[in-house]
Amino acid sequence: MPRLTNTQYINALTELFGPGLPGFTLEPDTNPYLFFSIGASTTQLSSYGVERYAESAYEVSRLVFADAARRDALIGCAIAEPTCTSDFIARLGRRLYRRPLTPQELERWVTSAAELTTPEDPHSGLALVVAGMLQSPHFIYRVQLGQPDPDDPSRQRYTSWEMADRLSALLWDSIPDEALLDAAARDELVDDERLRAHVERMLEDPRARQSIQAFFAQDLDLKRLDDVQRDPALYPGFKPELVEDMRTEARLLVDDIAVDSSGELNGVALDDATQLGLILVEDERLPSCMVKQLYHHANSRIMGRAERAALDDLELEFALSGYRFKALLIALALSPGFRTVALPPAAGVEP
Amino acid sequence: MIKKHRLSRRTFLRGAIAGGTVALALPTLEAMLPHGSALAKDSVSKPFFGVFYWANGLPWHAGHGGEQAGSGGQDVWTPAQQGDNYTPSLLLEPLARHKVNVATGLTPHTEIPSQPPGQSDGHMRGFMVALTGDRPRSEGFQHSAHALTALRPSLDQYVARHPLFYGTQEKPRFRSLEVGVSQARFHEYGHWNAISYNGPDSLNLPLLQPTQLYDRLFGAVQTDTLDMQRRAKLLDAVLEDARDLKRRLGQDDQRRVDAHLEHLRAMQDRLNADTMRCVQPSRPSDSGDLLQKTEVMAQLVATAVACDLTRVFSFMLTSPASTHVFNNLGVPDGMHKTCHDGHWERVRDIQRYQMQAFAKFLDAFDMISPTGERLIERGCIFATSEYGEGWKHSVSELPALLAGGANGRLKQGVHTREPGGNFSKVHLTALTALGLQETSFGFNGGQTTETISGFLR
Repeated sequence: MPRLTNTQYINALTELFGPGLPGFTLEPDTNPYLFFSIGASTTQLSSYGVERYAESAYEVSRLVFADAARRDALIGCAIAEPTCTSDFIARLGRRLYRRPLTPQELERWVTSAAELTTPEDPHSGLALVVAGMLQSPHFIYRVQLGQPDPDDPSRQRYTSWEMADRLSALLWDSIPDEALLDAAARDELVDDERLRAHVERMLEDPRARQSIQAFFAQDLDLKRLDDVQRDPALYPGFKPELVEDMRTEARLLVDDIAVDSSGELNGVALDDATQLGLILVEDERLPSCMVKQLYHHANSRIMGRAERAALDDLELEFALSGYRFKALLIALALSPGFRTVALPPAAGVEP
Repeated sequence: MIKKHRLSRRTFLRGAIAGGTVALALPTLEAMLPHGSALAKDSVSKPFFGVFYWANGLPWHAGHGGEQAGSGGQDVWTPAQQGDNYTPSLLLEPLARHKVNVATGLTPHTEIPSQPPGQSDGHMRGFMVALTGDRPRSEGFQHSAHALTALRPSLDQYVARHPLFYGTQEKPRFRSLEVGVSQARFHEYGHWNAISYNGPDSLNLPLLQPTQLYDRLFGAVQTDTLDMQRRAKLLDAVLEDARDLKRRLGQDDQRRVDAHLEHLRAMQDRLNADTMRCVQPSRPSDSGDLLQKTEVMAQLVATAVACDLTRVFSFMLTSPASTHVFNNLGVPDGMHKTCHDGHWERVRDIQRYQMQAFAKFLDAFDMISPTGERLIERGCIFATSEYGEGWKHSVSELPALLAGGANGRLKQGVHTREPGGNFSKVHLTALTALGLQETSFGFNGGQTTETISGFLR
């Protein structure tokens, strides 16, 4: 069960509450290997990490509810109306939990809003409930329980709601938008063709560019550029701007060959043999290696040997696509390895 | 909120830093505590435990192996004499005023599984044994990627969760604090970021800025009682959400939600608890070099202990295999590379500087308690690194220091030497000094029932 990465958390809050949110001091993402998404599925939050989620939640709530226009736009109804509180909590809950609230959850939060409202401020209870829902593990964790796969009794299939969450995490580094949740409500995201249409729509969204950039930045460990320091007396040719140039170069290259698809990832020809370019050109294992890395990242865990069998098909589709990265993402999203998970063998049965 | 502005004595740590100033009020313990309160009476008798960690071991010498012997490097760590009141070596000189105990010659005794390969790597084996008494977990270990996790809690968490340490009486606001200074990292992931673990894949990342630590200890929220009560009530609903979720999960995920639940409950307890029980120091600055930030952070940690906000902490001066650039010492490259490149003199200078930092850290615990004794007399602070030396990554001669009096259980200023001795003896000595009645410590071949008897009274 992955947790939202910090990027996903911040993107989610920005989408829900608009720009201009305070800078969040969250417990830094970490991971045992390669990607934050993998760390988010294995590591436990520390005491300080839970506190930081709480403080962030209160900061957001305070900011939004301190501005009457912003607050009213968020709530979308007059709080004196009999069903306003319940309607708002249900609507916000669907975005935060990436599924409809259960009747018990809805009642829990509506009751809390009533109990926590002060006589001086009729919105005070709702403000706290927003802060509370932002601390709920149902928001912070990406709950994936699955359902029986009608096509394969040995596997569990992710539900449409869970697929909406998986797609938005992979392709946008965020939570699903209303359109994707509506599709989940219609149970469309377990259907090949309709799933493909949604993936293609999501890849055209600017959020996909950021997400792809983030994948390559982690895959190539570009964060290490932050620590590049040299003594100017010993390295007179080194200028601090060089680090930013290296970062920009990497970003433009990824945009060129992975996002805008003007080039191929295999055997890409560069006019100037830059450092990153050399890595990409000279590493003949790159396409195969990248498929594996993306597969780990998309599933938020290191995939076992048996699970990696699905990679043969992905690598083939990648090659057939002319090594276009977006085609790889589509193939991945449609692959059984992303949409289903093997059930553990029954007791006494040899794997 | 107790706000007794009756501090007649304040000292301020000041250092000119790039035209600015670091300033932290340093109230004496006597003035900070409500006079004659239960806190003042009780807390003086309760021991505290801390871990101080520095990166990249020691300068190499013959004790680390044959190749190191051939390099010509001398042993500038091991004192010439054993026993009480040893004469400090070059690297221990900065600590002389604190009379720390030093155990030399110790090394990990844990087994080294053959698969996956690479588990003998000094970095990864060394810091796991030094901090947890166990080897790294084999599952998921990848030498080439430097991916690893701990098998069990680090010693600070072992103590903090030990049933005899906090007991069943009222617990401090924080079970433990995790603090650090240098932000340079060998890798940005996993255990290269932290020295405090709750168990596998469960890190307690250190707070790296004085203001972060200050806000956590003395944050403004604690001044509004009504707000705290409403937040505590709100957490009932969050906790119910978490319990609902837990019921639907498999075992591994249940453990993660359990940890989350535990932290939520602790946060709720803090909200419901009494407000601050001592006067707050003033808010520090985040600027400063490694030594200056160490002083400021140490003062905050010592204040937290003095105010009984916690009795367990860890302090990561530099992270495992640190790439910190000590350019103030004329070292142009990151420390890890400097070790690998075999620059013995530079490593010596860096480690002397790190010992100066440890001395600064201990200075903060020199404050005087209401009973007239130094705070450090209540404590046991265990200092260690990740291996013996960083040139060849030998785990021989893994350094171990114990500072403090542990309420009279620890002698001070003692050097003992046991070449090849089990490193976990120092762990068991610390646990014994804290009165935890453990008869053995160490795991997977690293078990020992022996303490370093010369350190204990």
